Amino acid sequence: MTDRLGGAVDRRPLHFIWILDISGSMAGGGRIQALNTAIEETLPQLREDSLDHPQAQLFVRALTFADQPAWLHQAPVPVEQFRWDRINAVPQGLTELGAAIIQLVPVMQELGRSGRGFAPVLVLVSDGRPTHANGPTLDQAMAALQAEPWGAASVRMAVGIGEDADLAALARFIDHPDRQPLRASNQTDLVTMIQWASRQASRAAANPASPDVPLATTTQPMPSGPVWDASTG
Amino acid sequence: MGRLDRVSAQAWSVCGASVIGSAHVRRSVENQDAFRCGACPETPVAVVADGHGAAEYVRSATGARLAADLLAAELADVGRADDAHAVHKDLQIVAARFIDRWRTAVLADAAAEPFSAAEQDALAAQAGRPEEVAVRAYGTTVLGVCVAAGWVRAVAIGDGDVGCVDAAGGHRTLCPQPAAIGVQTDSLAADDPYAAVRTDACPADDIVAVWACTDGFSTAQADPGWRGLVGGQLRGMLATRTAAEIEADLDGWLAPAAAVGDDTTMVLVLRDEFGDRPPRDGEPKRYDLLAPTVPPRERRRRALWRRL
Repeated sequence: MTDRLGGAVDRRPLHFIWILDISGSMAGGGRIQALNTAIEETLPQLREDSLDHPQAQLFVRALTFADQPAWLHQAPVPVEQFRWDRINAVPQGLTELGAAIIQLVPVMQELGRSGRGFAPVLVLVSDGRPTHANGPTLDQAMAALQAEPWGAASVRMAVGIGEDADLAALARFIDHPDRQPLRASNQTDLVTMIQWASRQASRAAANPASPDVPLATTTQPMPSGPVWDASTG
Repeated sequence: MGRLDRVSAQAWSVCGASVIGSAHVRRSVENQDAFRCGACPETPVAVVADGHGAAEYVRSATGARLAADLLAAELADVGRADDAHAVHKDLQIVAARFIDRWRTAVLADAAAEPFSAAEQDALAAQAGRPEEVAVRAYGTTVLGVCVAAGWVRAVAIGDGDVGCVDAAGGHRTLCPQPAAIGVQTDSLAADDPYAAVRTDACPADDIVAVWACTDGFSTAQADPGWRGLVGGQLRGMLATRTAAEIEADLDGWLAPAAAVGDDTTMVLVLRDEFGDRPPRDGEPKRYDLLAPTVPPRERRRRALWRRL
């Protein structure tokens, strides 16, 4: 006699990916240290948010880029098990953002094959203007990402560090009329903004909403000045 | 969890159940799903609705209840056409009339009970005319099925699933929708809900069960072939259990999906006289269904005529 209706049940995966600039300029002004601190302080909050969304199994991984992109975690790691190993900037490293974004395309294809889950979350942190010495331009990479249904559906946020951050490029990455890149001008800002962007994006991905309703943008972090100030961190 | 009613309409029984999701239990939020089952003499009807969960949908539970009630009422009055083209046309008429009535009903609710300060805060970020924002506060999906004039008929707006099962255990999905990514869904509160209507129908000759569920059940399923599993399981149950026994267990079958997070609701329309199951003590045998043990008019009044 049948004693169940349907098959095995499971939480749906929500993939969260940090895309982190470790170019040479990140070595200055305590930026890379602030980035490490921000991620360390964001993880407990993501774990807490995950408990509030039991329908979602949050998986985290990080992709760094300078001259070349490099995955810090080849496979997605459940947020409960994710541990952050502090990263360093690459001396004289470029800002090959396009090459990094191209790394996301096969990930989106894999999500499409699985066909199950929440829209992935992509949070970009960068302090400079993208280069394309070794890889595709930002526009080429974004076109490839958005050609994938799961890439187009991804919830994307971006934080620029200091006055050299190319906000136009970050806005191109976000490509959403109701979301703008954030600019952090000091270490405190950076921690706050990475936490905010990461939590907002993951919440937006896990909360039901109809397509007509934009991602809520009412909880903006404090306004920040145009210059990275290393003394306030 | 809650059950509204269960009645029989000639050869069909209708039942449903709803289990609050663990995410809502954790946040002390009410069950935002709703369902409505019922029957008039010739038309068993079952509807599920899933109020949107995001914070700005401050009255989605009410929107879902209104949607379930109003679509059930419209389906009970569906036209009795029996050719495919007319059946679909009837369903389009039902859907359009239902949308109009739902929008009128939610605006009346908002007028009768104005939004509180907390609700207004939640709605503050919404763009659009006040009337549009008010309707959006009641956002919900809705899926309804009925069996009338020899056709299984279905209407859907938004996510969730509808299916039917034939005597051999074969399963057919009704109102299929393109694969959605993440949590996006069409909505009854969308700017153009008419464009989001999906209708479907199939001859009821060989159909033994019809089911509809909210996405709390669908999205919790890890097996891509789960719809076929449900079909085979329902077919197996009908061979061994009465509709009342199936109804009694429905809460328990929904509970694992609800434990994953979302509110989980399912309605079933089950053919009574089908099955290999021997009749229980006191239960009329199959041929007794035709026997006038109670005067037809009285029998109808007692058991069947339960207008929605």
